[in-house]
Amino acid sequence: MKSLTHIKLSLALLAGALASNVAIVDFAVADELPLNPTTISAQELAQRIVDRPTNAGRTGEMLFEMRNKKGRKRSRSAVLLYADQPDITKLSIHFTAPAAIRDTGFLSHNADSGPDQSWLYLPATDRVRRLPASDRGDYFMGTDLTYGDLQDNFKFALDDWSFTSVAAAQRDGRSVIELTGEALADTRKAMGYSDFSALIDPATLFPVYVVYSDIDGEPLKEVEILDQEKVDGVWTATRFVIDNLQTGHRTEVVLRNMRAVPNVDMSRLESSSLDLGAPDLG
Amino acid sequence: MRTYPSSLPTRIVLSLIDHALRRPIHLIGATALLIITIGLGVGGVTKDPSVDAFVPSDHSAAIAKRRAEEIFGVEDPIVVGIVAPQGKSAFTPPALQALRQIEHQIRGLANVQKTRLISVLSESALSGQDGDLFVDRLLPEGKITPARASRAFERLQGMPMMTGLLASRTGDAVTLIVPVDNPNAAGDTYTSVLDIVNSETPEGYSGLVTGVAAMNGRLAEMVNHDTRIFIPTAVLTAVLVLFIALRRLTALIGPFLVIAGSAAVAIGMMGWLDARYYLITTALPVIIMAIAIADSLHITLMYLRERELHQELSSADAVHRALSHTFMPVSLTTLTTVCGFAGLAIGSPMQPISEFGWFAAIGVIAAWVLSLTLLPAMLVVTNLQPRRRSIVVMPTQLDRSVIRLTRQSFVRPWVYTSAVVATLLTFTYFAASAAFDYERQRYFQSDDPVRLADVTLNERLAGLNFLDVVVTTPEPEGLLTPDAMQSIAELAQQLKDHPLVAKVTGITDYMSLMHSALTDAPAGTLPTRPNAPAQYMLLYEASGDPEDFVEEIDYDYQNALLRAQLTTDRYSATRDAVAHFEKLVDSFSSESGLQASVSGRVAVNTGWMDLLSTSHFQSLAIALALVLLASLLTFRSLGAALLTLVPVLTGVLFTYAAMGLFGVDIAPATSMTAAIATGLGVDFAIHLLAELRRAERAGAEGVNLFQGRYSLVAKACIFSATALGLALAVICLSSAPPLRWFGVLVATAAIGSLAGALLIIPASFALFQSSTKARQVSLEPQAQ
Repeated sequence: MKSLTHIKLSLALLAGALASNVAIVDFAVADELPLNPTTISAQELAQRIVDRPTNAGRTGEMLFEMRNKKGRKRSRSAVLLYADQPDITKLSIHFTAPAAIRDTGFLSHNADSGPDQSWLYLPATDRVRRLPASDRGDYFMGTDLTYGDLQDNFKFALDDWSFTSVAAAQRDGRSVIELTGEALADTRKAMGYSDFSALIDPATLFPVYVVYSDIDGEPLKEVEILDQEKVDGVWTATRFVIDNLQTGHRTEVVLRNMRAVPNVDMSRLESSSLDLGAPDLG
Repeated sequence: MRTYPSSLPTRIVLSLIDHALRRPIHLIGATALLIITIGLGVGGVTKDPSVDAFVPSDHSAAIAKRRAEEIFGVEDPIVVGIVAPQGKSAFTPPALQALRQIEHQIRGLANVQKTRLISVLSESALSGQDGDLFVDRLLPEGKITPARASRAFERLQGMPMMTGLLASRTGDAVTLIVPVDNPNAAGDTYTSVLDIVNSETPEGYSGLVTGVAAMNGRLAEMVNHDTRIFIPTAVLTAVLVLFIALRRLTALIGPFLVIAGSAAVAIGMMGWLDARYYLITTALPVIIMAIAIADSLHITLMYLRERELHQELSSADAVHRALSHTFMPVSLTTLTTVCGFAGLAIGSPMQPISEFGWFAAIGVIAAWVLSLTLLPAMLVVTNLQPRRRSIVVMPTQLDRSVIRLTRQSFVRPWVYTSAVVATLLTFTYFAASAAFDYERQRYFQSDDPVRLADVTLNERLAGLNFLDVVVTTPEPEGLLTPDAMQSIAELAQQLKDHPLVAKVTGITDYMSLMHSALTDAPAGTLPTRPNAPAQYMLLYEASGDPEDFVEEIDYDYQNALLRAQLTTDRYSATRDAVAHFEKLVDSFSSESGLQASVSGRVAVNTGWMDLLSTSHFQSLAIALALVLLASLLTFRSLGAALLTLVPVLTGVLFTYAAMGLFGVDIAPATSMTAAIATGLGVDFAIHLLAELRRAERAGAEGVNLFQGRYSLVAKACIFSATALGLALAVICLSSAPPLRWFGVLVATAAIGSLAGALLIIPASFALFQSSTKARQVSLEPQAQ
């Protein structure tokens, strides 16, 4: 059984996506560039992307702006707090706007072993409740990102895809590497994708532009990273958009004021403190 | 030396025709070129068989429906059903597996909105456990086992807003709602869906396809079928009637070209003027051909008579003499017929009816022009001779019958007048029972698959007739307050209280389910904490599809849709219901601070039927007034003009009486019959009165007025009425019952008008003469 209120896993993954960019040294850039598309295989390139580092302890603001095909808009903002400990990662998200959902809080604990756990606090019900996990193909928070997208964290999991080609390409006058892949038979339905075509930024190893096809092979989604910044020495995707090509729905995510937090107050990442509201970013 | 009538217009026209007939081949070439040029427009005609075509785009119900479609995407869908036998379940592995296969294949069709298919395969159920909220697919991916099928039904029963739409309450039917990009052009989509459903439905179950888009698609098929059948059959019928009347193959050439050319000009003009080809337009070529026969017959019969009586005449001279006699009545009947169609066009706010009127008028004018140009040229070129055995001059059995009937009417005027009056009264009695009504399924024969599907699914489900109420707030997110939710829930309950409403679905159903699951509140209660609705929606969005509530509440929570499923779409029932709902929403708007408006398919249909019922008699009145005016100008006598209307009334009242007696709805197609019958029915009286006037001027009086050429004119009227009736009977081959009735009613109205004219005119003359000692007909002739 899947819970509706399981914002949990997805947010943990989103936090992972964000966190992976924030704190660590830019080893990939330093150690392995330049990438040569004529000598590297598709599988090797995918491995390099998967190996992009993650780190622990960060916070920041996240802004979501979603538009439907008629141009109607929903905006939400939240405060993110993330901690990556040796055997568990913890994430909280506290919404700050609009006013009607202010102080709504979400918390997830993703342990390396054992089941994931998550909780949700809705001020209107005055209760913190545990939430079960979600499926990879489910949409996250009304956005065009699925939980699977977040889990992948701008990577292409090696056990989900068969990588079919790699080639040099150009994007906006810059050299990029084109990587394509096909979903493995036993994962395509769960992911909701049959194949992808991505343009990889060789400097950051981020897929700056990806097109996914649905399980029928028709174009489904475009993901584009619009801004990348170095935060505490690590390249970070700070603005990206996802366009659903079939529904016309669009999501833009912006990260602001991201910073590393070496010593996270771990008590703020427990369910008992979820009703305390957003942590102070200062 | 040719003689010309005294009427200046007639003289001018006949002089021009005489001049043109000096080079008949050139005249034929010029008219052929004209027909071909205009007829080429046929390729540009666009078909639009949808019911929506009858709704003016600025009608309030149409505007409200478009708005609801724009906000919520609630287009008219195709509805697929897998139905188990009564008492059995459709929640079985074979039925659900078939539904899955059907869904998969339909997703690949053009015109289908593949991301918006709705069924038990796509939807999720909300449930609560220990204060937690769960959303589970009604039927998860993977193999469908009996246990999973059974569990899907259990979950569905926990979602009352879905039962009656995605499946029947008892589980004996499951549906797949298929939104399409263009529900008014779903002909191919309907055919493809039907093929898929027929091939995938497992043994022991019925696969059904219905819904407004499917019905529109089926109507498109019917238009194609009818068009293929009507035109050749009408042409054959016309030729047959002409052959019976003229008994010469060469005599058929001219009339045939007039008939075909008139229809080609009318339909070609539709293409050039970017008009649409609606369901009722399929009858248009037939109507034009039927009317065109009359002019050709009158002229050709008179030509043959002249050649028979005056064998020394050349064909050109015989044509001249024939036209001298027939130009005025043929022109006048054209004028009155055009008046009838113009009345229809002017009086109706419905575009299909209005365009029918205008293009029929164009066809009638084309028939008149060709009868005075192409037909005479063909008579000259073919040098048509009468047969040795006269069919024109020598009295036939038909002539004798006409003379006998006329004399009887003249000798016993009171008897015949009383009989006509009694007939009119009887017709009036039955006509009073005729009623404006419409029901979607009545556009199809009782054994048509789409009608059977509609009937069956309406029986098994809560009714597939949707009436929507859109609730609006001025500010974004204004609906996400407990007060707004409570107001919407109360409005939903008021809608549901109406006996025609089987169920009402809206965002408040989901809100109360979430509230119960999260707070253990009793089922059906709504949250009262200020921000609870917004937080519940966030909760749902957190793991639901962004489009999940697209049909219940709009993206910025400013508009909500309450969708009522009515047990019928029959206008006679929904008219009062829609009026009641409009009052409800007015009251709701003034009391709640929210704005509400009624829309949806049922409201639109009710709206245009209201429009039809208010404009119908306006069209008829305009047609009658124009015809009366034309008669008045023709005869310059109110008495004569009124006399021409008596046969018209016979035909018109007959159409209403037939509709009342046989329970035929006055709906778009059948509503046109009275106005058309007005234009057609007056022709016979005009021909007969014009001949009487001529005979009177020639010195005939009393019963002698009805001798000689009167019987020839009467015979021509009988042939043309027969031709009209038979050609219109072709419309009875239509797949659409309303069109069949249209054909029957117009045909019989024309024949009724002829009978009325043959009976009442001699009787009226007799009565009028007895009131004047001179016993002379004093219907003052106009100058000829």
